[in-house]
Amino acid sequence: MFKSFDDIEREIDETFEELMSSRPMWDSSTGRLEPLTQVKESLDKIVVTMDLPLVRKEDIHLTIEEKNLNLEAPLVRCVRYERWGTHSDCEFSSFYKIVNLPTRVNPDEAKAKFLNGVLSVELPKTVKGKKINVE
Amino acid sequence: MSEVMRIIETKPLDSVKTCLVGMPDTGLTGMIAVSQIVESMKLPEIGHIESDLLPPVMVIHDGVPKVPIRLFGDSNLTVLTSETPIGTRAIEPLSRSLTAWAVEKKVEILVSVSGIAVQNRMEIKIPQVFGVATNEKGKKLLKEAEIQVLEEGFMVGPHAMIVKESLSKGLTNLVLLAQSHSGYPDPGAAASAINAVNKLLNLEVDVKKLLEDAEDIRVKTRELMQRTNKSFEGMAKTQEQELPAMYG
Repeated sequence: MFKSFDDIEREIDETFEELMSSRPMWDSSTGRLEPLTQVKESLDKIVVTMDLPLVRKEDIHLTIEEKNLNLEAPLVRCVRYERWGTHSDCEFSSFYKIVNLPTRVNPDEAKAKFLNGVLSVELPKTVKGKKINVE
Repeated sequence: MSEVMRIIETKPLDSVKTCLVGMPDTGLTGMIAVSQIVESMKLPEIGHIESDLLPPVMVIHDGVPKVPIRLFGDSNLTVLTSETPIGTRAIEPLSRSLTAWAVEKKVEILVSVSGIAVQNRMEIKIPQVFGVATNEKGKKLLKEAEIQVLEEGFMVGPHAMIVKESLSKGLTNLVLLAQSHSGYPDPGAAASAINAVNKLLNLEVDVKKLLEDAEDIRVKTRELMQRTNKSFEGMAKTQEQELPAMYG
């Protein structure tokens, strides 16, 4: 049986996520950290949450495309790691993350809230299920 | 004692009154809580756990290589914690070895500290702590410490297997479960867990510094949390958030 393009696209996204999860969650060359992120999908929406300690609500820069949610947020102060591994000292100043969404969403109806350092973004799906009458 | 999991005491103890366990689990709550207790009480390192079932990992602190699962404390209070998640294959042997060791050391109370995921954690200011006890003595201790008993639910992970082994060996095992984020490090939940441990064991571990450092801890434990979340995939961890069946 042939797979639909959506299934193939989803499998590519999942493989990409798998690869991304096994790499370091930081980049010392840019001073960026990757936040812990959870993506939950329900019938009509996708909810993305991110743990953003040391971030102020007014500094969060969120942009959305049809299948990506992009976050940039500076930390209120730099986080230093001293004597770790072969780095004598490294310093991070922001969170950065591109979240690949499992399906297309309507950017105009997106809602976000930030409470106790956790960002929650609700994204209504573009294609909602078609109602089937039950006889 | 189980051959596949060896508890090595570098400073041997004849007996242990109370043993506290905190492994990387939901919200890293147990690990953060017991690490804070070790630091606050300045408990010395007294041993570690070795096994072929554990990942081939050593950690280096102050230039000294160390096994990630280590024991701290003395004959009054011993603490077991880990800097790496315990994989599914290692959980049962670890629980068997730990409880066998607890019987050998005549441990009076074995306390596991962990988190229990709650969906609305973002809205909870001070997480509540629930308790599970393996016998009447344990239930009485929970009641005296004013810790609410978890009436219905599932436990999945190291603390669940420690309960199972404690039941079969007649050990008094208490599990303290603080309401936690499901996938994010939760020092706030750890602070609630420490307050419960303080009441239960008459300790005076201050949580002020832990709460002050909470955001830094959340930043610096992201990768351990990520790895721990990954380890949950092999143990049906999401079952803890399922509604129980109506027949008990």
